[in-house]
Amino acid sequence: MVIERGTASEAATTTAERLYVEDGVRLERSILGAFGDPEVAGEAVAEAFAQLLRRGDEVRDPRAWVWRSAFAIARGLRSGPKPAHMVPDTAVEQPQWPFDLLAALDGLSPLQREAVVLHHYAGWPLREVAVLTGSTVGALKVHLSRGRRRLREQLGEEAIR
Amino acid sequence: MTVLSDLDDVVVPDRWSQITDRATRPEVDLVTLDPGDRPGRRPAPAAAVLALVLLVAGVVASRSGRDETVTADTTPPAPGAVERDERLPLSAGVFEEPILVDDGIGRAALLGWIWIEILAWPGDPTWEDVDGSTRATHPDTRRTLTLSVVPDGDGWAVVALSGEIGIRPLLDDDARLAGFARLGPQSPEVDTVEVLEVTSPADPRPLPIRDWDDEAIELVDPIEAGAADSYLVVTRDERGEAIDVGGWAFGRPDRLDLDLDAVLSEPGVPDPISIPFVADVDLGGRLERPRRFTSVWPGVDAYLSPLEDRSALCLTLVEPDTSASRTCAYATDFNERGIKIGSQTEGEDPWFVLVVPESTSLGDLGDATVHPSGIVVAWTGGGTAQAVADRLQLVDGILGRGPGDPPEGAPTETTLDGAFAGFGHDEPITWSVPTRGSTSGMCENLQAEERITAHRLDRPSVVAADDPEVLGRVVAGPDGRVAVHSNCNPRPLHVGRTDSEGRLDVEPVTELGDFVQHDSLRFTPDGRLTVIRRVASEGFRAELVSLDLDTGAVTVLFDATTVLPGDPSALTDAAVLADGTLVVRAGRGITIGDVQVASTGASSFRTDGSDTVWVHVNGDGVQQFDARGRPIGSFHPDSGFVALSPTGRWQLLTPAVPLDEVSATSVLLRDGLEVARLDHPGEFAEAIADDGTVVLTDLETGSTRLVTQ
Repeated sequence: MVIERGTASEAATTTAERLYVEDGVRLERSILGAFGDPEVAGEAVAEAFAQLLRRGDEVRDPRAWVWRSAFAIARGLRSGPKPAHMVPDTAVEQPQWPFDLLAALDGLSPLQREAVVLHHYAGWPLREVAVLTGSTVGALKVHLSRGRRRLREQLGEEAIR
Repeated sequence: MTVLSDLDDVVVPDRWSQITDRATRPEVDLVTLDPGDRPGRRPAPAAAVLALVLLVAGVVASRSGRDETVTADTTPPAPGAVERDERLPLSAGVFEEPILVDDGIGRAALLGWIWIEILAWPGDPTWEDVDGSTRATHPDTRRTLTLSVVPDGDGWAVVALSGEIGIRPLLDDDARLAGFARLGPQSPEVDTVEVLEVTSPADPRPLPIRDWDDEAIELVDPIEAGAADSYLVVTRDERGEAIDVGGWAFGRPDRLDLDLDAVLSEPGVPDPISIPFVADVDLGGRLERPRRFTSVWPGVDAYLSPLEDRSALCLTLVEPDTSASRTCAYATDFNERGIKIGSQTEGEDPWFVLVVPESTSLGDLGDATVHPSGIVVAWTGGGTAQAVADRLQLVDGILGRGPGDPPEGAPTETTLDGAFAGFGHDEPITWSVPTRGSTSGMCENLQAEERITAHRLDRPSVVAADDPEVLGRVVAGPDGRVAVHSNCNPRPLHVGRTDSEGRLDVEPVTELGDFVQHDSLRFTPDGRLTVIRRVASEGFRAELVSLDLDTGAVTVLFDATTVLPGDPSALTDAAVLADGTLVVRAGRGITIGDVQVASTGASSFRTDGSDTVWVHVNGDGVQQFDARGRPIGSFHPDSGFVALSPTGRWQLLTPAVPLDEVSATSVLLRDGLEVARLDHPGEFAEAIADDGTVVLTDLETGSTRLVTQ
C-alpha cells in the first residue's frame, strides 16, 4: 500500500523556502564536510527539500526533518550508485576550496566525520547530532573526542575552535 | 590555518528553483521504478543479503566442523526484472567469496544472527523448502524458522521470517520471533512495504495477535517516524481495529517522532496493548499510559510508562504472586537495541541488565569500571552483530590514581574490541576481549585476528591471547590466575597466568556445560570460580556451579529449580560471599541465603568480596545487608544509582533523576556513613575508587576527571 502524500500548502511552501534560505547553504556545506563530495551534498539537499515540499503540511518539524533526511540521502548516495539525474555542481566557481580541511576530514571514520561536522561546524547539540547520526550521546562523545584529536593532529590545535 | 569554518568559503549555488522543479514532478512509482534511477538507493541487495547469510552460515558451519557445499543461487537478480512473487530458494552452505554488505545497521546482521542461531542448534537441523521458502527445524525441540529472500519489483529485497526460535536463550528460552525484516538501503522515501510471510507463532501463551494471515499490515512512513532506516507496522484485525504494533526501527527509539498514542487511540485498541518489539518502536516518553510488552523474564509481566516529565521510562515488573515493583530506566540508557535497567559499573566484574527485544542484539551502551588502584576504564559501544554497532571503545583510557597524573607510558586511549573489560586483583592490568555474541552465548564469526588485549600501567598494550576458541569473558582472581570463558558455547573454560611480557598463557580446564553464562563468571575470595550454567535440554535450567581450579572439581552450589520450580531459567545472577552464603538474583528478586531482601526482578546487587551485599532497587534506593540478610547500612530512598569501590568501603549515591539533570549533588559515603556531598553541575559521578577518588564525567564534552577526597 502506498501512503498518500499531502499537497504542499502555500504556508508549507513558504516555510520550506524560508528554511532553505536560513539553512540550505549551511546544510550543504555540512554535508560536504561530512561526506566530502560536492555532488552528493547538492543532490542530498535538493532531494531533501524537494521531498519536504511534496510532504507539505505533513512534516511537523521541517528543520529537523530536512537535516535528518538530507544526511540520510547523502549516506545512501555515498554507499551506492549515484542517480543519473544527480545535480551537477562542477560549474560553480570555487575561489577558496578547502582542500586541506577535506583531506583531513577524510582521515576520520564516517561517524567521527559526521559528528565533528554536525557538532562543531553546524552547531547542533549532542542530542541532535545523536539523532542525525543514529548514534547515542555516549558513543557520540567518543567519536567527537577521537575526531577532534585526529583533526588537531593533522591541522593543529586551532582546527576546531 | 585550516579550521572547520573554512567550509564557509565553499560557494553554494541557489538551488531553490531546482528544488521546486523537482518537487512538482510527479512522484515516481515506487514499485516499478528501476532502482538505478532513484536517489539514495542502491541496487537490489537480495543477493548480497543472501550472500551474507550464507557467508555467516558458512563460517559457523565450517567452525562447527561441518562440510557443506554451496547450493544456493547467488546470482543477483537484474534490477526490476524479477517478478514480485519469484522466490530464491535458500540452502545452508559455504559461500566461497565473501561479499561485503555495506549495510551499517542491523538488518542483514539480524539474518546472520538468526542463521547462526539455527546453526548453533545441536546436531543438524532439518532443512525443507516450503513454498519457496526455507524452513529449518530444530532436531530436538522441533522449533522452526522460516526464511525467504524475495526480490520485489523495485529492486528491494524483502525478507520474511517466521517461526519460533530462541534468539536470546540466556534471558528467555521461550523467546519468540514473529515478525519480519525489510532489507534495503536507507532511504527517506520508503512508503510501502509488503510483508510476504508473517505467520502466527506457535505460542501457547495468549497473545493479542489473533491471526496474522487475516490482518492487514500498514506501514507508517519511516521518515515521519524519525528514522530513515526504520519502519513501523500497525497490525489490525479484520474489522480494521489496531490490535498490535510492532516492527523495526533502527534509529534511536527515543527519538522516533511518532505520535504513537494517536495511532493507538483509535477505537478498539486494547489497553494495555502488546508491543512485541516495544524497544524498537516507542521509547522516548511518548506513551501516555503503560504498555505491556514481552517480558524477558518468563512469567513476569512488564510494563513501560513514562515519567511525568517524559525524560525517562519506568519499567514495571509484575510478578504473579507479588505486588508490582517498579524501576526506572534513564532516558540516556536507551538505545536502539534495548533498555538498560540496571548495571554495576565498577569493581572487577562490571555487568548490566538489559531489556531487549528478542530479535535484536546489544548496541551502544556506556559503562565504566574502576580498578582497585584507581584505574578507570569506561566504554561505549559493543554489540553482538557484525553489522550493527560500533566496536567497543575505551573512552578515556587508563587514568592514573589521581587527577592529572597518568602513569608514564600508559596509553591514554585505546580501542577495546570487546564488550567486557575486567581487572586483575593483584596487578594494574585490564583485559579486553572481543565478545560478539557474548550475551547470548552464540558465536558470531569470530575472527582469528581478534584477541584478548592486556593494558598495563607500566608498558604499552600487549597481546594476551588470540585464540578464537578462547576469546571471551576474562576475570582475574586474587592469586593472580586468570580465567577465560569463550563467547561461544559449549567451550572449555581456560585458566592461566600472565607471563612477564603480558602474554596470557591459558590451558583448557574443563567444559562446564552446554551453555555457560560467562558474564556471571567471577572468582570467590578464596580463589574458586563460580559461574551460572544452563542446561539446554531442560529449558535452560540455570544453576550456579563452583570450580576448584586445583582439582578441577565442579560443584553445584545452587539449582534454580529449588526456588524457581516454574521457571528455572530465571536465575540471572549469583555470588558467593566470603562465608559461603549464596546471593541470588532471580525472577523473584534478590535473596541472601534464605532471606529475600528485594522482591523485584529488576534489582541488582553487588558484593565487595567480604560479607556485605549492597542491593540497589532503581527508584527505591540502596540498602546494605550482611550475610544473613539483615539490613545494616544506610537506606537512601532518593538515590538513583550506587557506585561501590572495589573493596566496598566507599559508596557513591546519585540522585534519582535523569542523567541530564545530574547537576546538583552526589552523596559520598564511607563505611556506610555520609561523609560529603559533591556538587558537580554538568557532570555525572560514575565511579569511586578505594581511596575515595570519584570519577566525574562532563556531560557535554565527555571528558572525565578525578576528584580525590
